[in-house]
Amino acid sequence: MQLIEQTVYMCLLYAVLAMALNMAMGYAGMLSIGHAAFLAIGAYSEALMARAIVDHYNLSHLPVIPYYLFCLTFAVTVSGLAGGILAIFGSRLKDDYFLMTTFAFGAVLQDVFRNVNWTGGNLGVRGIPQVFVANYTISTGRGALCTAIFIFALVYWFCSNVERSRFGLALYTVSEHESLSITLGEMPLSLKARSLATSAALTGLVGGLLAPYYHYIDPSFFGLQESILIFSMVMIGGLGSRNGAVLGASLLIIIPNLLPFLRVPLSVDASLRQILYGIALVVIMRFRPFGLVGNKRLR
Amino acid sequence: MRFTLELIILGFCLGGLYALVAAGYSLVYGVLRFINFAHGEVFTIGAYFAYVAWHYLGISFPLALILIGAAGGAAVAALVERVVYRPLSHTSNLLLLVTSIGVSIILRNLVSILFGDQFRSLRPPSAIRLIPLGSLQIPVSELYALVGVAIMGAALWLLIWKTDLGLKIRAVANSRDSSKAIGINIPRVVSSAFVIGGAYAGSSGVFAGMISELTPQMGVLVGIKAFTIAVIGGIGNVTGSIITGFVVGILEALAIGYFGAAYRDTLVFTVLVVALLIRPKGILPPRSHV
Repeated sequence: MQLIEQTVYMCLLYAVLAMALNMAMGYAGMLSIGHAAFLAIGAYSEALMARAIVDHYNLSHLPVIPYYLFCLTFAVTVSGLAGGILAIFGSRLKDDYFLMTTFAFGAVLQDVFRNVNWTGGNLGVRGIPQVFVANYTISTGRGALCTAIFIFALVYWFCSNVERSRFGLALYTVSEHESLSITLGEMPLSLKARSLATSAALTGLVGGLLAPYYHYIDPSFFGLQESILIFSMVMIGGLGSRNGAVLGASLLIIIPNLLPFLRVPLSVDASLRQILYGIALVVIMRFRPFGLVGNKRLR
Repeated sequence: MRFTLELIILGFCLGGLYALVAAGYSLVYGVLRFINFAHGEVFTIGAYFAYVAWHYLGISFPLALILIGAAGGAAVAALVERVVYRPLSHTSNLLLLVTSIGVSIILRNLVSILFGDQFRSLRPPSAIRLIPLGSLQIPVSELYALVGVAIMGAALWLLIWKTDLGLKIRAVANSRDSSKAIGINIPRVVSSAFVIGGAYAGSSGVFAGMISELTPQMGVLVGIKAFTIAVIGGIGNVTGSIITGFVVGILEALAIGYFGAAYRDTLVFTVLVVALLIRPKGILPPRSHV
């Protein structure tokens, strides 16, 4: 039962991550394999802020109102800003060069988190305060599941609105035909920067949920593998489609969780999961370049 | 001063490695116009081929190991090209790039399953010896790597500029359509670019194993560094790749010596990203497209 709860929780949060990345990759055409960096920024911001608050007010845990909401807002803001900074520098680059820049960004940030003192270095942040609403925890167990469902619904609704908004339509034009969009009076660089910042902010939000769920975080959680996992979810589900993102996330979370039932030795389990992601990516690109339910093609 | 000089020699070794991998990157990018994310894994696989030859077959002669690494890298690169990339060659370069990310995950984790994640070494016992050079103490392995890199760099230059195959590769890189029109067999040229790039990556992996350790992850960072070096050097400009490779290698070695190993990648990536942003087309202009 607990396993199912956990799996559903992960599916929901990764669906949010995939929708967030889709905001950059699908809507704006900015491929990124560095999104784990934003996840890390969100998680670390939440964790450090929550610890500071708990220490300062001598609390045993973190009440939702106003403290946890404040922490989450902080996490979202910081990661959104980081996304904006990356976008300002990166959005001038061609697609494939941008992708390599995001990779370097992710690698550098992981290095920084490993080596800076106030993030705890390789040990990471431990004892991240739990979040409570009236004696009931919403950061682990069933409470976390409720939070995840709520956030998932919120982000899904947000994305569907963005898709239909003027901003979303302008993004669509930019990614389909950049020079045409300029003649229509759009500003591609600004639009792309805003979409990357939004995407980073949503990713940071998930970071702020995961930090108390895991109780502790360290830099190894946020490496290239994590970035590529989210990237594969979007590519497999289909660029530009939020249902695709949800589907891709669910598939890539559920299928590897079936491995233990095949009695795979624990030592190769992690590698086999990765190989599954790799094969999925190669096969989808070969036979369904639009992704499973996507409507947009890589150009 | 002595310390700095020793670091600079280490930098030349690292830089030479980067230069060779970057030159291979340039070749493949030149003929297919896509960033082969799996190139770094070919580097890893070359090193592990040499490792198998040494530990299971007992071959410890450095030159033989390097050739085995080159053959392994070339074989894997050619196989991947034939099976995975060729069916997609008429589609977009981003599609190929995403596919190559998948290929790189598969290859890296296959190595990890076969050999485990622990550090391995390719250092022949004779190579640990330090030899005095004036007041400096240089490990023999670094000298091997330096000589090897110099020979291979020269060979690549000759291959590209003085042979028929090199001419064809340059032609395809310049214009795919005109090359086809004059009867160049494009799939074959693409294959041979992969074979050459793979051989260079594989043998660089062996050099890397001789001056440091092998892990399944060793190729990831080297791959991206090599790519960015190829870009800064002007994609397709082999001389540019080699010069940039040496500069970056020396910078990295100095960073290791003076700031500690913790920030070596951060420093290199920062320099590289800044360079990429200032000059997205490369510092040195491409001489041709290979």
